[in-house]
Amino acid sequence: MSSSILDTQILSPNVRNTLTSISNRIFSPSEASKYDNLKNVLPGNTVSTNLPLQMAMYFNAFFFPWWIISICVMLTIKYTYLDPTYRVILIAILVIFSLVEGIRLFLGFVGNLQEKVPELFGFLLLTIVPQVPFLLFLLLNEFTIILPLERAVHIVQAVLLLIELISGSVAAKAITRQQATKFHLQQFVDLEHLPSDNVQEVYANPGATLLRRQNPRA
Amino acid sequence: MAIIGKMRVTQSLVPARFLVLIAHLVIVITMFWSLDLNLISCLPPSYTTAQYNEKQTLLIILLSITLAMFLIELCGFVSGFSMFNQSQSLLSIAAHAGACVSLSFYLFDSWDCTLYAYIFGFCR
Repeated sequence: MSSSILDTQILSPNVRNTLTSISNRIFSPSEASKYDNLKNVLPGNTVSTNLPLQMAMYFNAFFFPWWIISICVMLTIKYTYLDPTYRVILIAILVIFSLVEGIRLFLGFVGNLQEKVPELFGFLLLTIVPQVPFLLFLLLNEFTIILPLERAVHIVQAVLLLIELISGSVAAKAITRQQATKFHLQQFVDLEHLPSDNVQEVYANPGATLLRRQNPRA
Repeated sequence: MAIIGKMRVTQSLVPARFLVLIAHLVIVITMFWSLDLNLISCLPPSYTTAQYNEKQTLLIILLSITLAMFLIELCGFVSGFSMFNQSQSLLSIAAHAGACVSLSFYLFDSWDCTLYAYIFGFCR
């Protein structure tokens, strides 16, 4: 109640505004408080497309034709020197690998870019089951007369596959977690939109399931 | 509009740069595994094992330095650091393409192995 000297306004309003704006410009920009962009970091709202996976698949798609050309040429060169068993095996591996690679890369693109879990999981399965064992066979089995060019080209393809495998599993985990969160949150949203008589029923009967109402309450 | 034009050009520069880099890498790895013929062509007709080993060590050292520089460039490219810098991409594509062509001549025609030092100096 008693006014002391500390309560008097020393600076005029204009000077105060100027000083405030200058200090805001100097001292606040670099630290973003965690409540900025709150909508973007809410669970269910972040983008969970995986960048290393997308890059690896993109480059793999460009590298694949050259891989095929190198393998075919090398196979033509060494065909007469190969064991008959290995001729058949190598041709089978080549055909299966090429067919599966196209499907695999397509599934990976769709699954990663549109954040769809089934396609991404199909991509991972196709990577683990035909591609990696075949590539290891081609790279490590000395009976198939590995030529230096083949070695080089298989190493590149193996590195790309490894990156896709690791980042693919990370991406699948992130996307699955985000979809589960979205689903759980959606149940709370649905609860708000139920008409009042149904809400009584749900509270009275805990075993009743929540129905998702498509139409607005009539 | 200018940005859209630039993006379209960049769209084709990035995979081009990647493919040329990988082609050069493939040739270098191939050279690693087939040192023999080039070494024989750069030694005199009658050579001792010591001379052979000495040349082989020299070539292996040069190839290893090439691989280390590749690693640096690939890291810069993949981490996005230099992926969208167009003039540097063009320079890189030109240098690596030149290296690829000369190295393929080197491999197919069994050039002298000391010539690799010139290619290394020029294209890196």
